[in-house]
Amino acid sequence: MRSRSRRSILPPLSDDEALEAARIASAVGAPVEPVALGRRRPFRAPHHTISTAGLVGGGVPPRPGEATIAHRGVLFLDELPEFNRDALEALRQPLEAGRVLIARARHRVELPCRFQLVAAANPCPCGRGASSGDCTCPPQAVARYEAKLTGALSDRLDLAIAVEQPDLTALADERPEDSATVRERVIAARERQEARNGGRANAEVPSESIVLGPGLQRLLADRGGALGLSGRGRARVIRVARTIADLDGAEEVGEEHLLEALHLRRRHER
Amino acid sequence: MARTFTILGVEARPVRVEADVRQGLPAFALVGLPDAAVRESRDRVRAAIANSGFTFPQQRITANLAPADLRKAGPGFDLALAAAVLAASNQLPAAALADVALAGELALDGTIRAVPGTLAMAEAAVRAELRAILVPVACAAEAALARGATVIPIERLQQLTLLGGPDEPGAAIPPSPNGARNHAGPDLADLRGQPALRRALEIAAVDPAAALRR
Amino acid sequence: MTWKLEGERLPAPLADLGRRAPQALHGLGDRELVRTLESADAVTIVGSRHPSAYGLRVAGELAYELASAGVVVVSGMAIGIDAAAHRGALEAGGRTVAVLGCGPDVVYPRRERALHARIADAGAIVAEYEPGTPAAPHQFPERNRIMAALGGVVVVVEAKDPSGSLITAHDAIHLGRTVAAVPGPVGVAASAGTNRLIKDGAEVARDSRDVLDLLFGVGASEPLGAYDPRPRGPRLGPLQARVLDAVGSGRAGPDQVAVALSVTPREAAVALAQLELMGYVEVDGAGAYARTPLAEPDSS
Repeated sequence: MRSRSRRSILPPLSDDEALEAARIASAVGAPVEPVALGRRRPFRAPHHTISTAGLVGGGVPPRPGEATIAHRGVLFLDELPEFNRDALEALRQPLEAGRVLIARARHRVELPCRFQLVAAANPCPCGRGASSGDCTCPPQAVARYEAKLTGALSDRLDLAIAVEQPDLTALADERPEDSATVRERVIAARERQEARNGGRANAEVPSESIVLGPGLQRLLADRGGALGLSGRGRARVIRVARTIADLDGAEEVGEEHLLEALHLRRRHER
Repeated sequence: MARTFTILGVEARPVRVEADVRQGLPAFALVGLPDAAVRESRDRVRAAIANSGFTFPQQRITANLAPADLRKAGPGFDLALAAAVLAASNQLPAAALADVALAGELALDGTIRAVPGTLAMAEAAVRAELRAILVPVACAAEAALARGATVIPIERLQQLTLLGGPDEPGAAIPPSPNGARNHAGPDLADLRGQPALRRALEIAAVDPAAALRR
Repeated sequence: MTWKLEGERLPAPLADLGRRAPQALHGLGDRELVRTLESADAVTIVGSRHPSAYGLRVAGELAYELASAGVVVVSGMAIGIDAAAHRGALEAGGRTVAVLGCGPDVVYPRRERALHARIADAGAIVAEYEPGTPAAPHQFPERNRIMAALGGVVVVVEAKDPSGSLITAHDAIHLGRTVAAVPGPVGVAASAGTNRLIKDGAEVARDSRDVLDLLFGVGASEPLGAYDPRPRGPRLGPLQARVLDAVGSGRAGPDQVAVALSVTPREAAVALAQLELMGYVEVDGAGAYARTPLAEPDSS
């Protein structure tokens, strides 16, 4: 349920994106109207028992997988470590190139899959977290589980957050923002992003070209190693910091933006 | 010869249906790497033709789906196959089929059923510079989204006799995104007490990168 | 290279076990350390195999400081608290003895292979079982009595209820040893046993000072004085200090910190990142923040 709400804060599909998504919906026999007219981004949440072909496409004749049906939308993998490793490995090509190429004897088939990946995982098999003191998992199980988490896809994931137990006393007072407000902010940030990058998202420009405020480059250089940041990890943190600055409407990436990006970074980089 | 398409992945690839009708013991052979479902279309085509006021030729019919090395799948070839057989048996003018494409599954009574992929097929028809594409009525709105396409909705096999003539069915109009633009779905406000999650989703929404949450 | 101690050569504290005393101890490493061991010089540290980050930290710090003060740290080399205690003692360059439920040369659990080697090198490993005896379930409760006897004070750092550590604690009480427990958060399974021990009358061990006082008598031990092994970190701003305290009291993430301190989650996230950069907190595999041993600068 929690990830379904993501749709409402995503900007609507552009004309071109809507056509791409409609073409795919048409090809798989799914309803075209919500995508083409409602401009609603696809949201796919396959079960973790899905086959590799079911996830990225394949078969004879080649059929699109969930990754393609999620094109221009969100692919949500709940219980990420439970997915079979080959299926997760197969998601590399879509995540890198935005498409899957399937070669057959005389014909090449290209399946578009430019989706946003959202994954969810428990901290350990029993769900409570090995260091919470309440964990009932044998340590080998925890190690195996963490290995799966840091395996195939971990270097493709940009943000990691721990979903904390909601504090019930806080719920009474809180007035969370509704999706429409957040969506406005998201759209404004995207516009700034695209204006600065000539139409591209922050994810599509080299991180070296992102300007950081004074002292921040040095901060990352000095402390990056101590934090276990790989080169790729650092690039990712810079990109996320730029996005946070865009949400703030800030010209320059400031320390606060970088710090929040560091907080959100993936741990266990390899 | 009738033109149609097969869907490979999410793209439409052109398929030509050639039919040859000659004297001989009645037979209906289908060649060109069709899958089992396509071969089943022979029975549907036979019944639909007979029930639409046409005559199913009691002759030796050979239909070829070209190119031979392209695997064809699904029931969408029915309409083109029927059209090719009708043209080859002089029940339809061949010229009427020359500049159009057809797609659709046939019911035994001659009505035409929806098939997937008509949007990609309509786009392919435009690229092939065909005059129009005939699709089942239920698919017309979807196919009409193809830019620059002329989509003719067809309800019954019998309507093929109108093709190219003054009573040819009119082209479908592409539907427009009206107030149907909604963002239905649970609201972020449902995530009470989880500001960290909302914040991460917000950041991820701006930049189409990837997000992991535990 | 294994040796055997029996009869007169068994460490004196084991005599308190009376008829339950082992016939012999087989061992690896420093034989003299074991032979001459007095319970007045040793503290046994035991606890859960599934500790929280808090428990691991406390066990390591306790062992480090006790070993620095010359105390022999006795434990069972189990994963979790035992391993953290051995490591803490080794890090301080101190002495540690591991009591196993299998032959002293048998590495159990297997993932503690490196620790086994380090203890054999710098301390001693003993067991009631012949070298080569594989681990078997009934052998562990048996070895617990030896651990209980060797230490003058038995400290339970974290224990579920019920658990093997609680049994070791009860063995210790029957032997006339002092039992201390480290209090933990209410409602967390890992501290249910230790909190119950305290309720039932065990001593409270908050730090090495408390344990040393129990071992030597209040005020009788050498003050740790200027020798404070814990490194100190950079100065903290007021918000950072409050956030650090919040993490110390168990707020594991920005949402919880925000609620506790009435700041925005974003301010909390930024402060947490700063604290991580400074080395005061770390994040575990589940994304939960926890305090590191790094101490705040002296207020002087």
